This record gives sequence, structure tokens and C-alpha cells, in this order.
Amino acid sequence: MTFEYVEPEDLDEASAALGADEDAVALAGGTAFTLLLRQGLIRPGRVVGLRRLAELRGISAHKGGLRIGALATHREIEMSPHVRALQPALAAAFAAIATIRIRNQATIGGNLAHADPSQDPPPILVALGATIEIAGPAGARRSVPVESFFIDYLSTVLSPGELILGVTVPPAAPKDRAVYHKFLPRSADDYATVSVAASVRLEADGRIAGCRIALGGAGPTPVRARRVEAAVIGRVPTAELIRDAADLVRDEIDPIDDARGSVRYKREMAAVWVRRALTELVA
Amino acid sequence: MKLQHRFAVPASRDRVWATFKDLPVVAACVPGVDELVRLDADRYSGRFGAGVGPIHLSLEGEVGLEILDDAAGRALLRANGTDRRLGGGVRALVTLSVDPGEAGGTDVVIDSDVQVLGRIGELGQPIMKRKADEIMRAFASRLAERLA
Repeated sequence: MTFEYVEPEDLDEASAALGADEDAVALAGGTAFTLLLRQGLIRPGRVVGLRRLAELRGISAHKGGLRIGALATHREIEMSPHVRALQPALAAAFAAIATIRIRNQATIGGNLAHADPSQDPPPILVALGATIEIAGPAGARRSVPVESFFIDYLSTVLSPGELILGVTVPPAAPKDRAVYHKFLPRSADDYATVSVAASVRLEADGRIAGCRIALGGAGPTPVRARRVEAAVIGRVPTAELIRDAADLVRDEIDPIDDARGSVRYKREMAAVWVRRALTELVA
Repeated sequence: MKLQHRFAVPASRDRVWATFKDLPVVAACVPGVDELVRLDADRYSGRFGAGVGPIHLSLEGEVGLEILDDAAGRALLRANGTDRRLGGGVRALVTLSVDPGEAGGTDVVIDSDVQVLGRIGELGQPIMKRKADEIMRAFASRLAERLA
């Protein structure tokens, strides 16, 4: 198998290289690309290496928010002092991905563009209200909330000629809390049977002012559990409220039967892990 | 992989059945089918393309009518396709049945027995089943539009 390999020096050149060939594939860390290539499922005509693009690098903090370049590796995010200080749940979620060899190689931009609904970064980024910055042809720029970025299994809103510049995470209020749990009944480096990310903002009087919940492994894209959120927002959390709200997630998700569990089992486990996540956040 | 899809079409059984007997018309309702060429009375060659994200499937092959039972409203189709680029193929036996449904409409049942060969199989059954469901939903709505 042969393909053309190019390494653009700037974003416009990268966009042109990606837009000109229907079978062009962008290459960041290459962890997903290599698997698809070795499985024989993709035959790219052109591979566009992104590693020379300086705009895609770095992790910075601004007024409590984070900007994470598309080429930041999972390990860089896990270890970043900015991420650890401002969004510890995000650092913890990245620290729990796969194995250290993969975390040293895989990038946040590559992960999002690959759009495998079993992966860990999307749910926690959705729970934190993160946004994806996209660069397009002729200097075009647009932003898309992470929850609107995925349209189907391995499919995103990215058009030919577009690539991910980076991810911005809005500032958290002092009492905001977030957590990411993945249910791994097989092995620690497996994809989760289901995973749950949740963030909660508590009022001084104990009521839940805001809540965002997102699940991985629960459908063709990451799934936001809006019915569960609506059932707890504005309420004072009790064990009963949380249990009843968490049960709503069973019908909000659309998992598949596979080696990690049946549809019915995944619905049950989603309810269990949403309950655990919320219970932990309001404790 | 055995699949079953059921849907209702707001047209009489006879009209739906007449449409099903006309393979080019049926093919036109399946998203991704093109270059249909008639080989003989009951056989056509053609191409079928479908994709999952960056993975593009392009099957070239034949589809033929094996059994046509007008009285019962049953048809058996056999389709074979090969993807030269990815390496692999698909063989399918498809049974179409039509029965009178509610409010003058027609209930359609499509049973497919699909064998996936080679690399395409790497996608896994759950993903292929989802894709088949998506194609079948589009087929049902295009068919309903055509008969409206």
C-alpha cells in the first residue's frame, strides 16, 4: 500500500492539503490511524502530518479557563500544572486513559477527530462545557461545543479541509465539582463498558444550580443525559432524588451489544455509575 | 449476520409489490447504489457505496431475482459484492414480503442473511447492523415518497 505523505508548515497549507483529496487523512499522534490502517479499513490517498503546526501545540490558562492545543498529548494534559489546578477532574480523566505508552503518543485533537464513542476525553469535555476550535480553508475559523461535534460512529462535523486547532474549557466556579468514572469489568486498559462524566454546581443553600452529565460507550456518539440533569437541577440532592434521576439514564442511551456487555447490562450499569458520580459530587 | 427490518408504506399492497418487482426502481430507493446495468431479465450489475467515518466501502457486484411469488407477495434476491480496494466482500440473501397493513397501507418485511468476508468484517457486527438500520430507514422513506 502506498500513499503520499505531506507535512504542511502552516494552517492554510494544511487545510489545502486536507481539502484537495477526498481520501486525505490528518495524522496527529497516529494511535487510531495506525490501527485502522493495519486493520485494512482505510486506504488513504494522502496523509497530512500535523506535527510542524506550532498553533496546535501547548496548554495555556487564561482567566480561569484552559486552552489545550490539538497536538497536546494525553500525558501532557494529565501532567499540566494548569489543568491540574483549574480542572483536576480533567487531569484525572486523562491520567486514566489506556496505558502510559498510548498517553505519551495520542493527542486530544486526534482523539476527538477519530470520534470513537468509547473513548474517555469526550464525556469529561462535554461535562465541563468545552468547545472545539476548528480551522478551515482560507483562514476560516469556527467553534463547536464538544457535545455537538460528533454526528455518528467515527463521524464528526469536520468538513474536508477542516482540522481541529484546539479545545477551550470554560472557567469553573470555586464550588464546581466534576468527576469521570469508567466501568472496566475486563481490564484496566480496556475501553469502558460505559463511562460517566458529571459536573455539578451547588448553591449556598445546598440546591443543585447546574449539572452536566455525559456518557461514553453509550451510543454511536457521546450521550448527554439531559433528562437526568433536568431531574436534579434546582433540587436539594437526597439519596432518593439521585437514585430516581439516575434511573432515567437507562432510556437516554443507545448502547450496542458487544464483548463489553449486552444492551440491557449497559443500561443498568449506566444508571449505577450516574448514581455513584452524582452521589460523590454532592457529598 | 441475520437482520430483519419492518416498516409500513402508505400505498396499496399491489402498488408496493409492483414496485418491488422492478429492480431498478428498488435500487433507486437504496442510498449508495449506482451504475446499475441490466445483465438479463432478472439480473443486474451495479455498485454499492457506504461509509462509516473515514472508512469507505465500495462494493461492485450483481443482484439477481431468485424467486418471485406473486400470489404470496414474496421475493428472494441474491446479491454479491466485492470491495477491491479494501479487500473483502459481502454476500446477501434478501427476502422481501408484502402484506396488507392498516388503513389501506402495506406492511413490508425484509429479512437479510448477510455474510461479510475479509477486511470489512473488522468493522464488527454491531456497527454494520447500525449501518444497515440507517440504510433501511432511508429506503423506507424513499419508497414511501415514490409511492406517495
